Amino acid sequence: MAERDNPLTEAFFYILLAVRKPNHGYGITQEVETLTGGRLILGAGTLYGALQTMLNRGWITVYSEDTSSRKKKEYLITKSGLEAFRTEKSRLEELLKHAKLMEEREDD
Amino acid sequence: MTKFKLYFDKDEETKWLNQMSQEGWAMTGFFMGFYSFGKCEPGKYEYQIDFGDRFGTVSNEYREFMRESDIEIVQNWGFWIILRRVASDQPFELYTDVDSALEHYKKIRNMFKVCFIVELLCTLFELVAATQGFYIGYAFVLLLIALLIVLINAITKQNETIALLEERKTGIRPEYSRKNISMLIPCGLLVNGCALMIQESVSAPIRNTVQIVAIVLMLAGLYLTFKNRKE
Repeated sequence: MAERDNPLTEAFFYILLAVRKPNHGYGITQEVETLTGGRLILGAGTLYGALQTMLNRGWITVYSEDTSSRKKKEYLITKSGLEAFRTEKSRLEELLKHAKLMEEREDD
Repeated sequence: MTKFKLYFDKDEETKWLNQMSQEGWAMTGFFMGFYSFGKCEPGKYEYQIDFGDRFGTVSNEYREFMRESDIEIVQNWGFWIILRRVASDQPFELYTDVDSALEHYKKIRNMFKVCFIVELLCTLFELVAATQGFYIGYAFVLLLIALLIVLINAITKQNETIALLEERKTGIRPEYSRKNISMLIPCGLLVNGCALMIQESVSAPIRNTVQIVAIVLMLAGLYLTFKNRKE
């Protein structure tokens, strides 16, 4: 599993994005699928493993758990999850910024 | 309907369960190699096999998560969890990215490695017992060696799968050769074990026939194993 220092996997990145507001497992899969136009489909094992890892790291928390009304378990991003997301975002921004250097070459 | 099968490869097992479902047989339970099936509309269910974190039980979180994902836990056996879902337009897959799939297969490989070491210790223990005059011990040693070979094959299979996933991740084809051991060798060992067990209770011609069958099986196995390696 990806260490904290390593870039987030695509699955982790999109799951964090999908839990910016309370969201349940199926909702996460749906949202990630819509956002990526069906390119990224999360299998149940992949999603379960990622959610467990993120819960252990304290990146997300269980937002609601109401078994009596058969309401599905919802997850929500935490402060440290947001931090991890922002770190990744600035890494990606740096990549994009530097990617422009390639265009200069093409102009030659 | 009940069918007996021994699988040491969860991908093959998944394929078989899905094929049975296509033929109108939904797997409903498993015990010691016996799979029970009930009639279903052909192709109603899709099966997948997961590898859990706990032996013999499934955590409540896992149970709840699968229920909410409309996935049914059909059977928990050791670390294995057999799951099924009513087929929809999207294929039922558990591990959809390389990282999680790699982690999954590495966990399986580690389990087989631990099994191998435990088996090896049992074999050595049994061998010592046999040399101390516990005659039937030799039969058990052969049986255990047969199982060790099966486990080596299981580990090899995981290595193959992991190598393919690593290749998908890095784009570099890892160096690796097929090292599968022919299943005829463990079969021969089993027959030989039986020959030892019945040695004193049957007549010489039967004993010799069984022994010859065992030797032929093992030799054929050795031949196929080496032929496979050269290719």
